[in-house]
Amino acid sequence: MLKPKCDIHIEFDRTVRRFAPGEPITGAVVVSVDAETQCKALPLTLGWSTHGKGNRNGKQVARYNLFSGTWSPGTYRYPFNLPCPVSPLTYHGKLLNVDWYLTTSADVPWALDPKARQDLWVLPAQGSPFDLVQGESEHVENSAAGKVIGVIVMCMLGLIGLIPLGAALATFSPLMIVFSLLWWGVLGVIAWSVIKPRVAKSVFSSFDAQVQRTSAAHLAVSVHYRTQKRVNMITAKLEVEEVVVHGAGTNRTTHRELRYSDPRPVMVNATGQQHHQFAFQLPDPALVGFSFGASDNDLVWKVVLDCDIEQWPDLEETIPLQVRPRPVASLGGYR
Amino acid sequence: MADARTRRRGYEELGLFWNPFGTVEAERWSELIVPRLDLDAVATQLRTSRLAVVFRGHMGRGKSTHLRALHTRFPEAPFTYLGPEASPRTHVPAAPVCFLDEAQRLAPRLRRRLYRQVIRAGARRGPERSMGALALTSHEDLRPELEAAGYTVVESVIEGLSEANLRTIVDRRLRWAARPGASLETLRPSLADDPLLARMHARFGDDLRSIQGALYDHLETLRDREADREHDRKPGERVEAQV
Repeated sequence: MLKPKCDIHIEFDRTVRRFAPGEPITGAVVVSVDAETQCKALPLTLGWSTHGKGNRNGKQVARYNLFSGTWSPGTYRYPFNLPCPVSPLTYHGKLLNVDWYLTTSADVPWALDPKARQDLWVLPAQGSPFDLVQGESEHVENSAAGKVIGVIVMCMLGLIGLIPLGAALATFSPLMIVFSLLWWGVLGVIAWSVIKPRVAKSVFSSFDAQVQRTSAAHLAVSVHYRTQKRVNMITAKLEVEEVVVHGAGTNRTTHRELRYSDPRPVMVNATGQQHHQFAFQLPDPALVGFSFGASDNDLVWKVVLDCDIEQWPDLEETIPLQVRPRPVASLGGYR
Repeated sequence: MADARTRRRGYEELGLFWNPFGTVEAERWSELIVPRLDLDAVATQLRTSRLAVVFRGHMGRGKSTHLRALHTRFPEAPFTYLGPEASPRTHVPAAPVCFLDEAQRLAPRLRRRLYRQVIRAGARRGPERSMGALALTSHEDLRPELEAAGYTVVESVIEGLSEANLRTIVDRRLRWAARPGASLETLRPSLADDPLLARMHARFGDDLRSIQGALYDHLETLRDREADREHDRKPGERVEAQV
């Protein structure tokens, strides 16, 4: 005897599966069976998921049971009407994607559960108003204990490095000289990477950068500083970047992909107190993506300031931005 | 790059929901893995005997994937991953069945203590003292210390990858990401045909992780091409993808 066949699929009432936050998502789950079939439950779930190169993240925001009972042979339609969620918004990038899905599966005893999935786009209309605010600074101060441990470790590595250095000077052994150069080279690179930002900033008696939205589509970045060193050039860059973390086992890796970059260089060639203003045209977030942050998956808006100082390490400062669609008060949300 | 890059399209034109070679949810690994050994049999042994199963091999060969796939059969068992930055003194919770990824990163003294704790936890489960099992990945040979602790050791060296095995792995991934109505027969020739897989195999050998990374980029290139084609068809409407 052949197994009874149970087909299940999701239909939307409209052909373009794009919905604005708050808009009703309407359609039906269609079930076709060719023999009497018992169904313990027919849940319909709405949820989002990230996919791409980063570790997956997601959440189910709604779940409804559409049916439980027995189907006689035939086709059944179970309509649904759900409010479109507000966030996160659909995003398709290179390393990071965020998609919303409707999924359903019929819980049929003693058989593989037939399943169906459909994706939908959650996006505000292009050109919709959005909010932009300056985010929390990414600059993280190390704890005092961490600093002390770092200094102790570096001192110990320096002391250990004296052994091959002493041997190299005493014996002039080429092996010892190469080993000693390698040791001190690596140690120097590590030490430089740690102290470079501090050294770069040490020549500024004051440094302040602020962002301000001057109109719906424009952003101004004001930089005030005072220094005795000659600053050759300052470049302000408005950037949107995908940052994802992938990995288990030995390969936990961070991947980055720049989605948008607008560099604005200014020649300075001066010392003393300076003030610069950079004006940016804001890209439409409906095109490049709104700010998104979930574990191991981020879409980051930021302004990066790069100061080229004469005969001194460059200073790089990052101002994170948060770009969100303007909330509509009447929209209900999923909890 | 001052122009806002247009929104990339989804994967619908490729017959997919997502890039099949992207990251997989932990609970799906069991479905997608092509195991080198019978994981159900190993799971039965883990439940009934004082066994230590150790997956060994080079980076990117699938040790952690095997361990995670095995762990889906023991959802109640603790799973500890010791990352590169993890302290060798990381606390690893003991249980009658215990999973530890990158076991060589745990200090030898703590490893030996864990072996004892797992046996004690197993003994509390029944009078026959048959429980107390470990599943590990390691780059080092842990057999001597596990045997000294009283475990029967099953070691599985994850290495070597035939083209046929690669085809099976890729097919599972394609099926996992396929949209309704898209069959393997239609997806294979356009997305990952045999000559492409042969080239990947020749280039990367048995480094499955690198092959998957290259296939991910290959799919993204195809996706861009679809978006460009769409752009050519409807100038100025590239942004508004029809979902």
